[in-house]
Amino acid sequence: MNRIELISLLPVLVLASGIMVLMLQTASRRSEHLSRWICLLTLILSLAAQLWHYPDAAQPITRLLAFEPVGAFFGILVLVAGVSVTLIQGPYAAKQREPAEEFYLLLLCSCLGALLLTLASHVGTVILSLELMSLPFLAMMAYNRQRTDALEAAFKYLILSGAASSLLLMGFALLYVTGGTLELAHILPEQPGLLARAGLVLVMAALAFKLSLVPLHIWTADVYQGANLSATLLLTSVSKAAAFALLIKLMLATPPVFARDLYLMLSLMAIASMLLGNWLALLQNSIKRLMAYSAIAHMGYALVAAIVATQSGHRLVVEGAAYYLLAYLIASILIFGILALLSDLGADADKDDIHDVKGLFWQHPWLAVGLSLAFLSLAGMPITVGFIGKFYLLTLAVKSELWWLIAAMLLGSAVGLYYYLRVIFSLYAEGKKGETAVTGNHTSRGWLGLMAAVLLLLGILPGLLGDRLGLLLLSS
Amino acid sequence: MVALSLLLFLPLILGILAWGAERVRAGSANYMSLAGLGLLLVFFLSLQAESHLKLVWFARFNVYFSLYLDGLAQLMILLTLLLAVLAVLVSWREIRSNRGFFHFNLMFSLSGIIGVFLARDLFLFFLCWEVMLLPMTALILIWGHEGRRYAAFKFFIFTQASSLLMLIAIIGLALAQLSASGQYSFDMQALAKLDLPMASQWWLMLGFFIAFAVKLPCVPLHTWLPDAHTQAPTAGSVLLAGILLKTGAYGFIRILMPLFPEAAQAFSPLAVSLGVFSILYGALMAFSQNDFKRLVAYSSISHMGFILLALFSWHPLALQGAVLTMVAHGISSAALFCIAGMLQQRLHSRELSKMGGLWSSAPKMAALTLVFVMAGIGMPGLANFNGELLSLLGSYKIFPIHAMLAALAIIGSALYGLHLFQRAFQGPANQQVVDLDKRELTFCLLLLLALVYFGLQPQSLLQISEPWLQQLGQIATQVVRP
Amino acid sequence: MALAWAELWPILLYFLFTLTLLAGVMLLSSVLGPKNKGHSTDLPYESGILSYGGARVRFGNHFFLYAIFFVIFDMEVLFLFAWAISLKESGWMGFIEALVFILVLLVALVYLWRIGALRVKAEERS
Repeated sequence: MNRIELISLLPVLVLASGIMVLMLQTASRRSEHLSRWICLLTLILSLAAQLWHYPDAAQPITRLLAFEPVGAFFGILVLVAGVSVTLIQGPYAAKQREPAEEFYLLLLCSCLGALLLTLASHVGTVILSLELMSLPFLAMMAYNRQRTDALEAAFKYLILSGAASSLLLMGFALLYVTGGTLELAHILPEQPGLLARAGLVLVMAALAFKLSLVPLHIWTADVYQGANLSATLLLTSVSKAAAFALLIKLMLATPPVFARDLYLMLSLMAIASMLLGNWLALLQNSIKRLMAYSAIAHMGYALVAAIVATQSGHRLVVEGAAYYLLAYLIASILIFGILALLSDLGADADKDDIHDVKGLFWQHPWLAVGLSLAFLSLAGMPITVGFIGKFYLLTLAVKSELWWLIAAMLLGSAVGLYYYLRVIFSLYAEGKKGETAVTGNHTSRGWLGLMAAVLLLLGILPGLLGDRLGLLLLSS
Repeated sequence: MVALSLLLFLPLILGILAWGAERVRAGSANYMSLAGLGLLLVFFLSLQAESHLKLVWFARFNVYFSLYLDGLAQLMILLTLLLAVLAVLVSWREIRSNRGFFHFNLMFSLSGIIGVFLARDLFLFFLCWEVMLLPMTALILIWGHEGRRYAAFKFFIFTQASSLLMLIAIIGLALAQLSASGQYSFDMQALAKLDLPMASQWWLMLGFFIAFAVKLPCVPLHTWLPDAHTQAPTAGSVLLAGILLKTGAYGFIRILMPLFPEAAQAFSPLAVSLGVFSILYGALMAFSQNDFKRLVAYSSISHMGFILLALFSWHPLALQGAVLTMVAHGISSAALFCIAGMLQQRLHSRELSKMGGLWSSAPKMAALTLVFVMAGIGMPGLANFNGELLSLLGSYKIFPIHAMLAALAIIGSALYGLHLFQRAFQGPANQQVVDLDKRELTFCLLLLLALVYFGLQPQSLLQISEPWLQQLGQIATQVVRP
Repeated sequence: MALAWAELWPILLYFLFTLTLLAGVMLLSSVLGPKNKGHSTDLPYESGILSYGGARVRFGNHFFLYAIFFVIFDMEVLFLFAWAISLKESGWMGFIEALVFILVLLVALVYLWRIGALRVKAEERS
């Protein structure tokens, strides 16, 4: 390991040492405040390191990791999500009964796992980092033991995630049997037999589980609803961004012989996700549940980029996927962050019912405006970043002439409008009497304000990021 | 010409100012908006036609922030600003709650509408097209009448879903340009030169057609309109009927016809039939309504049918007629919605059966309503007559049967118009209402003046819009009629 | 399909073999095993003592915790063992890496010790 490799690994190293510092700090003297700031500082330093030393070409670091642009971009998304969770957790958890420090420890661990996953270039790293990312989720979900729903959610996730991991292992094992290599770039053999195909299907199934794509989406709604808002936000941002980075890298390295099979399989999954996700979200009264189904639908949209990636590797694919995930991430952070400002972790449930936010605009206009912007972004309205993401994906789909997918996207979006509007409309309805309590300090509110500003800015001036995205994501 | 972009942003800034002003002092938002709109109007009139602005916006896809002000756009923006003034005046007392936010939404939608008329880049056009939708939905949702939630849902979903089709078509066009010239382009002028095969032209045209036909609206896609117009607050109805519907017609003139001349020609028999069907269906439905605003809403559908008929017959006369109808209907329907709003404010009902005999207590209002109804019927001397006459004359040369059927509807419009007037203002007096006050009288008289002026001087409108229409006519002559 | 068969038959055979074996064992035990139906056949067997109370009781899990600690730290020793064998080959780089590894373990141990995870009696833990 030479100096350059160490520098490239700096974000990971910063995170890892941050975890140790946090452990020692907790060991010496418990202080929620201090842990939060250590956690925040670690994440921000790691983010700074990631931005400072951004890769311009793929560069292997030992056989296990690769420092390359696509992974690095998704790594930034992961870290931004981590920072957001840290910031909203403080006021959200002010009245909880559990010790607060360990949450930040778990958070850092799972961010480390996700970051490693974006760097992974070897099956071993993939599995290790995937588990390092997922296991802390379980603890974070079940963190507040007085919430029975949370325990249920954690259990569901534990069992199903374990099943998915074993699918992944089995799949990689089958691929290894045929290909004889564990490097991700070459794991799909050029001349596949049925065994390799079966392996690929298993790997895809595991990834589909992480991304909650349709045949493997069943856990999503219950887990999202049961888990506390911070854990749900992590699940919907960190886990999805990292898993999607892996998926898109796998797809870009697909040998042409697999293309037809993958195209068919992924298309069916995407269409089913878009339609079913949007359809099931229609009548949800819990915003968390609604976000779960909306996550299914959005991952279905994002999958379009992966499908195009199997067909042709033109540069728009990665840009589209990255922009779309970024848009989804920002909107999710805003929504869960604002809900966390309204909720209290010490209570038995979060305030995520659609009636809880009824008339919010007349009491807390800024929060309501933030929520509306986020939902509009998810619905893909112009002047929000969500529109630009959708624009990228539609351009990709039209360019590759995937008419069935486009039709499903249109239908899904039209259905999706209804439930997003339902939430937005209830924000502006005549509210119930009495003030809704809002927690939150200046930093958490400031951060959410920043997210809202970015959401608008990238929507109004898409060129700010869009013009540079090609440079950021493609190795020169 | 940065000034041109100010036209887009000033209403938005004005809206924010009005919102802020209302927070400082209750009631000041009205004055703020009115004064601001006045200044904006002066500013607008000082701009010359044929000015344009082009800035790089999203270089990855070669998207430009490109605005262009020509005669047609000038005409539509003038109408927009005037109706915005009317909307502020008519909601002076009607809106009591959250007045600041109301004005913000009003001005925000104004920004979007002006953007639609100015945009020369399809990406920008789409953006503005959607942006005007949001505040309009908010206007319906927050300040609307009893069924506002449903109406707002329907309005938003119809327009949004249809505009997704347009988005696909826009992307398709840009990609066609990419494969033709190696570069994306959303510029309308560049895209008009694109030579597309008929099949793809056809599908892309259909995407645009559906989006515009929903906005216009044309019959199978019209169902959002009666609900939205009826439930919106008066200012919302004025903007909806006066301007928003015209953006659909404007889209046909500005985008669909120049970009896809062959496909549009091939499609014209169907489009014209839809137009005629809208005319007759709208008239029939209007006749059977019991709700004042709903009746006017259906009459709008009927009048918009004339525009569709005129546009797709693509005769120079008919095109002029379409533009005249756009302006005239903008004024006359806005006027009728104002009357409806004032009646609702006084009676707390829009039911025609609860009105009757209002002439005795409110003669000024009744007289003015009569004129507005007459304008809607198409009485010579008032603005609508010229538009309908030219539309019918022009389309008769191309689609005689359709034009004859459409002419029938003039009888229909007389029926429902007079029916409306008779039930509301004549007969035994059921109710007493207060007559128009000074503010109301002022804007009603101004509307009346505009109707009469454009009725006697249609040439002034035609001159402004002449260059673009000539261009359209040239395109039409190049296309061989199937 | 022929191709698939050529590749997959060992797996299928393996599945079949496992299934037959399992089914066979169960079948055999049900056929050959003695079947006595006394009045206490269906009672749970608890070393001759009659059972009482419900099966769902809460019990402390700190021994479980010890088991986990043992597994974790014991596993870590395995890595160190591998390093010890190849001490000369891995050189200074390997030494530094092992040092980092031990440091991480040490931090974890300190953490566990300080939060009281190592105390035996449940009531002593705060």
